Amino acid sequence: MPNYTFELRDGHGDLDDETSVLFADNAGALRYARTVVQELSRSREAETRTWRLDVYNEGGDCVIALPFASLDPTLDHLRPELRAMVEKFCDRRLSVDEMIYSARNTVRESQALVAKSRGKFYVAARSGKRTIPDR
Amino acid sequence: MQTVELFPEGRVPVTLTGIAMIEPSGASRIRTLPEQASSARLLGNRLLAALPGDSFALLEPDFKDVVLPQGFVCFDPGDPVNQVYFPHSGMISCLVTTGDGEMVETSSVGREGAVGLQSGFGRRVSFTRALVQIAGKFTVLPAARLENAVSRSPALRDVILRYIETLWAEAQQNAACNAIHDGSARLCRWLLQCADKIGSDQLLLTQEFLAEMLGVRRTTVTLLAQELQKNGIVRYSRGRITILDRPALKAAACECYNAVKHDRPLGGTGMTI
Repeated sequence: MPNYTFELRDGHGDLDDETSVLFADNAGALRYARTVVQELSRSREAETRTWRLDVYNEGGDCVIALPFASLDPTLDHLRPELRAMVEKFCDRRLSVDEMIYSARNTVRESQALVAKSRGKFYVAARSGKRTIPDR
Repeated sequence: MQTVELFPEGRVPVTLTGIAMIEPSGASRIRTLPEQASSARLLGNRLLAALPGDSFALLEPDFKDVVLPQGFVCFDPGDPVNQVYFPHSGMISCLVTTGDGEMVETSSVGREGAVGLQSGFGRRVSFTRALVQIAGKFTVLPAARLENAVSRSPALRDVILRYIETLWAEAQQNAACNAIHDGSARLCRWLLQCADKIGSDQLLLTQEFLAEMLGVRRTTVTLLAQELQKNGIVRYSRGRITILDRPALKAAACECYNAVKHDRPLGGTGMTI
């Protein structure tokens, strides 16, 4: 049975579950992923609406991308076209959040590199991640 | 050192009088700890410390101090409650199990209380599975001895009744929490309660165990724990969670944490547990 791993994209640095889970096929992984999304978003739907759970196979390919908004029960009252619009907005919002996060990291890395080159102190790590990653 | 035969699924008979240490080879051994001074027992378990002096004296000759490993089953649903467990440094979870093997925690007991106290009012069977969640030291008392002491000491009966009331309140709060609150807030509440109950900010817990306690998938717990770690609230490494920022963890926990804290005066006795 193939192994699957999970990555939560919240727009503020991704969270990985690197401990793989065995499923018979992609359909099994999708059912599990839907449950995980429901558990993560329950009672905080508005906060997590822009998030996405990606599922990867053993080859490292993303086989499922599950936007939280697509399973959000608090959107069930919307007309289909309006719901589709909200889901699209959430998807774009995630992209924007990820771009902002990435840009901030680039600025921090640049500041750290400049400080390091001048022999000055710099923030070496944030949230357990190195400011200047190993290339 | 005393050895007992394990049940096929790794359970130790509930009539044990010592401890089961799981060794790397898989063999299990029961060991009782050397006799402790009364003061050590009183320091370790707050319910024992809250007992009136004469009640404690009635029970003390039958106490046995043991160390129980994580995963040790004190009772399963339907099992007779033959022993009472007073945690000193470990924690026991009371779990409701379903036919397909899923488990959800309804209450947990640490150094503030005991498991199996209902047996003080006569022969009882357990409604839940009582499982050692965090290994540690426990004082064990035969249920028949407790029943005997309760029949002779109204003060002891009163303390036990009041403790069972708080446990009942905790179970009700947990039921509401499981139904209403989000996974992240519940995880924070659970970590805080767990730390309070064992008296340490370092928790030896696997993700699988945590997932069972919260009634969610293991992946969900992993992602929630990583979210807390990213925010500098906890540090998680395989099987060990360290609370780094308690105020932030409290802020992230649901209101149930304050509702079920066991450091309030117990009824009109002025006793705290």
